[in-house]
Amino acid sequence: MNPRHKDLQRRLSMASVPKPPADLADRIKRDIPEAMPARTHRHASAFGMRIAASILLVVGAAWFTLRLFTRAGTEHEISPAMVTRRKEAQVSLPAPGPQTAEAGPMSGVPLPAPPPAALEPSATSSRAAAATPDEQRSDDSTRRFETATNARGDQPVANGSPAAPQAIADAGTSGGALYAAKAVEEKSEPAPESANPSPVVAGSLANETARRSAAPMLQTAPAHQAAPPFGIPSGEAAFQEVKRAIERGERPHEVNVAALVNYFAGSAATSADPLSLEAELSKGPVAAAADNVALLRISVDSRHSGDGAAVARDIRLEIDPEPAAVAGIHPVPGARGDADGNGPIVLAESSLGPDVSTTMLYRLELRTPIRRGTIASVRLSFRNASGDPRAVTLTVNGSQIQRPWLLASRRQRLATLGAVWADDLRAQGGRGGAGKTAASLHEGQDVARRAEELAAQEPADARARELAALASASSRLQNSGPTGSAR
Amino acid sequence: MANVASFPASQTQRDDAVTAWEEERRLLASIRDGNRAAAEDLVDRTYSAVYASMFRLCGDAETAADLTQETYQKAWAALPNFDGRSQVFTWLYRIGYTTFLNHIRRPRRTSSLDAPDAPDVRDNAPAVDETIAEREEAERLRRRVLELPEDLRFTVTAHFWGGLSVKEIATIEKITTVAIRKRLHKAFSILEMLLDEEVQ
Repeated sequence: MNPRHKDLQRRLSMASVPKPPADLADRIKRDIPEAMPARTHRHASAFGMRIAASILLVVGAAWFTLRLFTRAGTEHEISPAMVTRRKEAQVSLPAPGPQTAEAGPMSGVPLPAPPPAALEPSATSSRAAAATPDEQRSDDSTRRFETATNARGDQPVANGSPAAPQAIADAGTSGGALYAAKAVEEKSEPAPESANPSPVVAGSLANETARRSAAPMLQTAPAHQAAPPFGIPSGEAAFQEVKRAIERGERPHEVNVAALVNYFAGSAATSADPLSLEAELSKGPVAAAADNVALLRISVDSRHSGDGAAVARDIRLEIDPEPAAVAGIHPVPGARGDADGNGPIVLAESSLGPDVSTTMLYRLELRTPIRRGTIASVRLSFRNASGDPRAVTLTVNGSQIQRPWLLASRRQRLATLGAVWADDLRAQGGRGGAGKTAASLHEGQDVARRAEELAAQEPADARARELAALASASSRLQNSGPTGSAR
Repeated sequence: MANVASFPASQTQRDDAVTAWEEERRLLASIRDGNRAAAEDLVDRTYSAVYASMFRLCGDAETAADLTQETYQKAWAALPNFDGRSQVFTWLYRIGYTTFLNHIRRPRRTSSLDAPDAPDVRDNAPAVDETIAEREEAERLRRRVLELPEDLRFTVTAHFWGGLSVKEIATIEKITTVAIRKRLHKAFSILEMLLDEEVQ
């Protein structure tokens, strides 16, 4: 055995342990329940279910085989009347429409991949191009507002930015401080006035009108849910599109990274407060070239409410990076950000309904040496149902970046892994699968491996399982076909 | 060549193993029947080892005590579904390990602008005695172990800090003992790399 390995074994085995506290045994014994929980017969019933399922499978397979052979035997004995009826049935079937019209803008690109394209500029140099063409901006001397004007809330954002597969991933930095704070009343600054509608409010109302006229069925949706909160769709539609493409063996042509981040991050249990805010910083899930890149997740969750009425109005989210600590802040593709990449970023919503969860992810370029103090502040202000102003401010610190990605919260790990995977997929699809290199293949495999680890850690987590399955499948897709020019 | 137990095992060895196993099963049956004394007996037999494992995982005495207490709380709730196919301590270690993972992933609430829990500040001054240096080295190694991928991390911690045998770990993970040994080898290679990076 390697001498160093032997030394490691020795050190691991010799880790000294203090004696347990004198009262520990008593503390444990006090917790012994008066009555032990009854056996739930889970194992017995699970075993029985397995047996029943096996029997059903065998019977079903036998029946199917029998039918198959029976049908093959009777094919030759078919009556002319049956033939006539069958032909009529075939004629009456509607001709299938063109697939592209049905699939929409996210129809897959069939394999094999076209010839490799030239290398594309990094996201840093093409920051301006990352903005969605549909976005409006209202200039403000100290803040920037951005509005999404898509009529359909679940319309995937076009892939407008060039690919940068390692734009998201990060190697050296890590963090995992999760802050879930309740709203606290602030006396200083009330939420924005709703009497003079901002472009955001106007945009939301216009969206709602367009949506209602385009889809009468959606009139039952609450008014405040017309546009996706903070411009990020729930991700369900984006996820299904990507999944269908991969299942067909095709690379998705357009991938909304922000929507997929939102999808995988999911929702969190909320308190009695109308809105909950989470802010967490961590390194990326796989190795990357830069050590000074971290991923900042901001999640806003609205509480449950039975009547469907808005739980908060005049919502304003401000993400303020410390200039001394942060060289640049960039949203993942599809999310709102700041054109200059310097921040602060301000997002606004006129109202939010119940049971809404939105997660936004930003890539931070940190100045070196990385500060231990405040890296960024996140402030959420709004009015509750009674019209009272509320606000909560969280900070993320550089001292948290030392924590490995594995120790980040489940939501952080899912969001960041989903982002890296989706961004890589977007890069592959945008170039038609071209430009695939050994490095990107390796990263794809790393992402798949991380996703599988995550799913193994959280076996009950459906999102983790979904991500693992798709990441593995897309990694296999990447491995098939020719490799492009090296980076 | 390593010492190899004689096969078939001598009658005494077999009897000891069987006795210990049967004793455990009797104890568990008593506990399920509501025998409090049996439950306390189980605690007395196992809590030191559980505490030691938790301390090695978290590196802090108070936290280890809390995690140990939490482990037993969960164990009582899960006892009805424990099928007895593994040893009691193996079962307790798995609960404790999951408890530890949940603990480190628990969101930490704060409303202060100050850093809520800054990491241990490394002492850059020269160590004044070997004890401090050893403790720091052990802490560094502990942190690196926790950075390993989950399958490797569990294998290393279960074997070296939980005292589980390779065979027991293989049973838990549903893989072969050869695969477990490969994991350990891989884990050492990664730890070597991580520790070297730190030095650089």
